[in-house]
Amino acid sequence: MKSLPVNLCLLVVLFTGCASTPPAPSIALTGDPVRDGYARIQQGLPEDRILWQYTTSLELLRRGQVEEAARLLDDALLSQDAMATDGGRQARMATKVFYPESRKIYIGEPYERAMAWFYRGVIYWMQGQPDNARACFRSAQLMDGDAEGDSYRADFSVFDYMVGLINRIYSGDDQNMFNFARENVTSDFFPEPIDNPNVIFIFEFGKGPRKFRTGSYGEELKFRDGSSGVNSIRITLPDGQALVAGPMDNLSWQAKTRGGRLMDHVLGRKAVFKRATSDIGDAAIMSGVILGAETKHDQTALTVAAVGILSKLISAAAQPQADTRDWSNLPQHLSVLPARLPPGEYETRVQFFDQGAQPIPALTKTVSLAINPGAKPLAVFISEFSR
Amino acid sequence: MKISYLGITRDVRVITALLLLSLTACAGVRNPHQTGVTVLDASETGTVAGSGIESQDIVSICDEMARKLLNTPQIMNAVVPPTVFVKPVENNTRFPINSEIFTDYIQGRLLSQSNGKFTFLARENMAALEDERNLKREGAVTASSDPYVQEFLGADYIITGKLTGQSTRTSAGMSDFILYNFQLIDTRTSAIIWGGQRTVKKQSVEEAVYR
Repeated sequence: MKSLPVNLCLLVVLFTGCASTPPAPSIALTGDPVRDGYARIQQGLPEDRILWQYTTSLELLRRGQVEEAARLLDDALLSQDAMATDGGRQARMATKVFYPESRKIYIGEPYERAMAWFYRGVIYWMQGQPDNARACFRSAQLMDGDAEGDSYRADFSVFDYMVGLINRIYSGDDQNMFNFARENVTSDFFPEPIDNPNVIFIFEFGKGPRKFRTGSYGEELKFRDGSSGVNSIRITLPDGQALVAGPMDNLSWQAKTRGGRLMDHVLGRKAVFKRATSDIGDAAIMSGVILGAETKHDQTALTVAAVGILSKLISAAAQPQADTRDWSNLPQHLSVLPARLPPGEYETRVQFFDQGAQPIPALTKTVSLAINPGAKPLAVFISEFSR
Repeated sequence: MKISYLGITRDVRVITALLLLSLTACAGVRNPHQTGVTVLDASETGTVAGSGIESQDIVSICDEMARKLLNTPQIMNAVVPPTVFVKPVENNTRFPINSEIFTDYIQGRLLSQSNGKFTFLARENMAALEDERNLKREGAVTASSDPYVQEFLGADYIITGKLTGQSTRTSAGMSDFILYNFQLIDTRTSAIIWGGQRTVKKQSVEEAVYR
């Protein structure tokens, strides 16, 4: 009987040992998102590798380093696909009570997975492979295909619009895809499809949604809305002709309309366990104190209190907190605009306008176009964050 | 005491038996040294398999299409080997692919199995061929024939391919159906001389932690 408290202490040590998580390696950051991204990919935690591949590839794309962005995204998408079907030991650990959800290898929530496919599609098109671009836009839409509510499934407007545009190039027409895109657009802006476009402008602007956790133990994953100071974009050609685009998709909306996850139930159970073991611990410690004070059963009181402490420690070791790792440089809005422009090499001025239709001079950019007559439509990616 | 049978001691027999056992245990093991890399035939489905278009799909489908193409009456009974151009396949699935794999594999199989029944055109090298011809025309390099005579061949037939996909997603995972469709088209009449199809369906169940 005397050895019971000792055994309990050993059990406590055992449990708290389970709860330890590997420390994040210290990485010397430079402030340059690309250099820091590569450092994190190479030296960071393996479970965060895909996250840094996503963020770094997007930064590369915004800088016009398309081939490097493609390489990172290809690797990330291969891993994303593999992990989604077989997450291995780390995925199983993430469901255990004493391991946090963030132990699983990050592949992102559906809107983040969809965006990885979307950017790869944009790059394929920029590389002159519209059929592979279409494949990526389809995969992107499919990533958003398991939302809880029917009306929120596969409801990115831009993805369908891009598939519709590429279908036109190959098979003449696909009004269905444009109809789907029109149904899901989140603002008044919807570019009417035109015949034989030779330039497809693809836009992103605003700062996308961020994750946070709530609930008694942080077991609930929530999304904070992103924001955008930009409301529209104007492209001015050398002859004065202007093209205007507004937002078509809202990523915060996409993040929030996904609905409940299966993992939310797992985290909910972990939280119940944490609360129950904590309550049991409180009750046992209190009982042990009362027993010790009011009776002469010191050994029994000690044992009951030790059980209480053990239960409290087990509760402390339980990790129900939701995984809030997120793709932090995603935009708030996506849009697309097909155009038929005169052939030749020239520069265009791209201006961003705020909610009051006033230009934001700091964001004005110059985009060079080289349009060859008879060539496949050119994809031009324009970001508020382009350098 | 050592018991001898046919002049072989029991110890030797036991050691020999153990050696044989260990050797037979090795037989059939694909990766006995556990190197992390296993060499497989491209037509095999390995233990690392995904829901996308994989080597076993490409190999088995291209092999089948090449075999059927060779048995097409227009090809089998042609007096003069027809000139053929293999057009890159169109990808209408949700999986990005390197379409040259299909083109190169089908052309390679047809070349190796046709015994000269086809003459393939190197259209993918047209730019380099034109550059070479221009050099000959300019006299910058030697020419064994008159470079001003048009000798680039036109195609009698075009082999085309299209991959069309239909994908479904539920809360449990994804299902992908792909139709591989190949055609042999007569360039003079635009008639489809031959068509071959294969379908593949794959489904993948998603890990609970990612749902």
